[in-house]
Amino acid sequence: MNYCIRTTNVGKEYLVGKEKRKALKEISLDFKKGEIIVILGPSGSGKTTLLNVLSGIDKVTEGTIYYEEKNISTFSERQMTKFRKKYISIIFQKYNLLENLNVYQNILMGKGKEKGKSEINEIMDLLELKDKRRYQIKQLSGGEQQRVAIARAILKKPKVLFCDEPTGSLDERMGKKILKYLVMINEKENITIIIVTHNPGIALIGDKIILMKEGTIYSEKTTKIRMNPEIIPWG
Amino acid sequence: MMLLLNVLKEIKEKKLQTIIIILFLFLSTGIYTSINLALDVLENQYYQYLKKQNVEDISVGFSSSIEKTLKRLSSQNHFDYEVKLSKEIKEKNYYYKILPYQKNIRINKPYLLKGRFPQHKDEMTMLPQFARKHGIQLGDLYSIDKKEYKVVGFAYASDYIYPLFHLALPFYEEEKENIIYVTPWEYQMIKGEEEISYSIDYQEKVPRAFAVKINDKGEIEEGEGSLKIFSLKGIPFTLNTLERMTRIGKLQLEFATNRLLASFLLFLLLFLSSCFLFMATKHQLQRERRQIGILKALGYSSSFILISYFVYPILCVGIGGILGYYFGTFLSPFLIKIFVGSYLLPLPSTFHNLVYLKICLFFPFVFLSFSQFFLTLFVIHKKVIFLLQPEKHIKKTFSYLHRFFSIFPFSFRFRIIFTIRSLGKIGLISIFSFLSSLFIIFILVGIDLFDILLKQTFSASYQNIVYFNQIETKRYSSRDDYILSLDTTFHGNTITVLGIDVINHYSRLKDDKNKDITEKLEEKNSIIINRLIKQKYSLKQGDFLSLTIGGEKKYYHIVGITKDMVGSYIYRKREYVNEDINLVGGYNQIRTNDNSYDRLNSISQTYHICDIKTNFKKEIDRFRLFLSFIMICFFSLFFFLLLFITNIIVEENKKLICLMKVFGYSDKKIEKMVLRIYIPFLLISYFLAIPCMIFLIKKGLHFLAQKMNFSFLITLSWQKILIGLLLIFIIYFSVLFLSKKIFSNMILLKGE
Repeated sequence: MNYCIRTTNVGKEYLVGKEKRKALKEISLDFKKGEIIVILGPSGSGKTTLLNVLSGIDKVTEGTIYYEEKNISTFSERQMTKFRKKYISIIFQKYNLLENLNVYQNILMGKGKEKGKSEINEIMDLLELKDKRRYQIKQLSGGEQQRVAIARAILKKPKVLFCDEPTGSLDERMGKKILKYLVMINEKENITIIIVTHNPGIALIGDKIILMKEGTIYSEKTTKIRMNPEIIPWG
Repeated sequence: MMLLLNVLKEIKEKKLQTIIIILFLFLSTGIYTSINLALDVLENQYYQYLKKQNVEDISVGFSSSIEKTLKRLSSQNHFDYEVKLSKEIKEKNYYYKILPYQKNIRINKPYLLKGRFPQHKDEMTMLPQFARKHGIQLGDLYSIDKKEYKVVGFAYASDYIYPLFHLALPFYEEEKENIIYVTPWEYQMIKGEEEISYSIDYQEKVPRAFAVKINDKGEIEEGEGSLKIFSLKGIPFTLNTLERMTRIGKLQLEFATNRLLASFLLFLLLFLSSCFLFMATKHQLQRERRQIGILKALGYSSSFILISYFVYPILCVGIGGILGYYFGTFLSPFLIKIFVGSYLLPLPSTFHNLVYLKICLFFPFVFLSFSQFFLTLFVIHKKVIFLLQPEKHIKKTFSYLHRFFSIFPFSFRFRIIFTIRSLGKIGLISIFSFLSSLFIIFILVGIDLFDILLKQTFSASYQNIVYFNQIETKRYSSRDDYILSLDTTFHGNTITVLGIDVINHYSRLKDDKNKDITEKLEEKNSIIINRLIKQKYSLKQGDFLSLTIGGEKKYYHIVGITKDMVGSYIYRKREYVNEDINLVGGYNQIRTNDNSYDRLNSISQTYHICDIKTNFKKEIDRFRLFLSFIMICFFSLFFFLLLFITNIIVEENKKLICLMKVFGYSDKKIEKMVLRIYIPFLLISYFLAIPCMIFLIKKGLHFLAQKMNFSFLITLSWQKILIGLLLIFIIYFSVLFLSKKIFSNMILLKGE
């Protein structure tokens, strides 16, 4: 089987006050291994909810999500935690770094073990963080923090990397740099990357572009050629 | 490892809160260790001392017929007995107990601390406490009974562990009371009131008990809890026995009560530490819920995250517990000195017991871990998606309140909503201010409890009470009061009937309102009881009391209650008491200002009111010292608690405070809106504590009245209430002052 993730009729309902609100409706998707998938859509279209259920942070209320042959929609919280540790990494829009730890320690948190120092050094080299390894998180700029979050996410070599608005709070130069890293990691490690963004320019770096609207898949398009992140239009 | 580091760094960020928790643990384990270790060492020392010095199990009064009985019973009951002699002398306000020293003493062997025992005439040993107070060294000469003796040693009499010379002077005064050993020959030469008794020592060790009951026939009552030592039939049991038992066994009673106090303080402080940790953790988890969410999102299991949070109790208990143990070990020798301050017991030398280190680590860890565990579990079990979202502060119920209070001005509305949002903190502040208020009220009531007792009891203008060996009829002076004192029993307890003349100089009976009620005794079967009897037996004016005075059981009408509070006394007209025992004009006490009665042979002893007052005052000072210590402790704890909570409030509302500052609110206004919301709760707690404490004190004193020979009058004036309130506010506002300093120095961007 060539599919990495397959969803069938995924739905998600929330209670807003006494009213039920459907954030996702009948989402059926297939993602292949090593693909870069970009999920686009305006605010409130359900793209972050989709990322949350795909990454197991949130549970679906209907439908199934398969990772290869594993149906994660039936997983318990504990099983999901184990699964996430092994297969998934997430890069959050607000970085979500641990402020008490320095750059090096934050990256190390991604793996949870002291082993593999050469790997960390390599990733820090790749993401130009080597000279900042002892820096406290508060001392870093937004771009640098996002790079630490990326380093943390890729250290454990996940099968799937979820990126929630990875460039949302960055300027064009830094945003493009981050995207370049993501593409580079994808090519180097063959990691499936799912990016959620409202920036249509980013869609050009993906193999698959999914446009969401009001909790449904509005359109799904497969691109033939990925564009170099440095030349994509911004915003 | 990284998780651990993360928590450790968080602790570093919360220095003040961590320090306060450690301080509480340090105090609780320190107090617990010091008291228990001191008691352990002392108890061990005490029992070894009893064994080594072969201290008597029981003492009985001397009578000519008893020697044969004892001889007969000693082989049956396996005990040894020995005659004990002592003489009492009073010279220049000093009380001396003179004992003959013999090498072959079997029971109550004297304990030599320094020097040697007297071997020749003109030699003596004395108490080291007395010698120290008067600068007496070995080899110095000291004069008693108009004769000089060379001090050759410092020694204790082992049956005088609590040096009770007589029941009228219940508290030991080391500068006034001295126990002296001289050679038997010298002892014979010394003039003084002699006491002869038999000391009995069982071969098989028996537990000592102090609850002694004598029935109407003057026999020891057996029954539930009655001990083997009292099953000795045929031996008269006298007041002398009770006094001797108090001298030897009073310390034992303190062991139990002090252990109870130590455990109470440990658990109280541990409970408070757990409350602190609970609040600190809650606050920390609120701050870190997002971080926990991140960790869970990164794939860390809940149990793994939970374990990392145990570093907080481990660290606090590790530091607080170990330091507390060593602090307790350091403190225990001082405590021992305080404990044995009123006792004559050689000081022990070792002060270590690792069992207490284990207790100091185990119990606090269990307490703290429980609160930490449940709170962390409460947050950790939540879904990742929920943890990653910002916390919603305003609950649904609050939105109704918002609407309800919308008619009020903004600052009032703000305070109300803010108050409701911090119910947990309010609860804790209220509980602790209630506890502190209880202590304040206790201290305010207790501070002059003994003064009132002295004033109410010894307000008469006579200086001496002269006791006669038997009932006399000869009148010496018309300026003195002649009293006939007879003991009787009521509900199995001894009470004293004092026959007084209705026309007298010094013995006017006054009630609580200071109204003279002496003349009420003119009625034939009338009696007046004192406050202690009223409290002890729940009696009131108008009740009838069935008493046996002079062999005949009669009902007596209570016509009044006097305000005196020491001793169980019933007053009756002397003439009628004399009639009860078929006498005319009999008396056995004189209340007088005349010192010349001392020369009479027929007197047994003279009590000087000023001595009794001084004796009581000394104890009052100790009691005040104890109250001051409690007050300082509780005020410090109250201060730390408030500081801790306000610190958390400032921390939690950093963003809000910064925002208010940006909007132009002054520090004073912010302080009013954020930190002064607790004032009404302090007031409620304080005013609620007043009736509660008065009730507790009344119950406690009623209990004490049953056990002791005192009764107390509780007074709490509005001035005292105001002082208490002022004390609470001083602490509260000094904490506010410190907290205000914290947010005055807050950098506005920190709120982000």
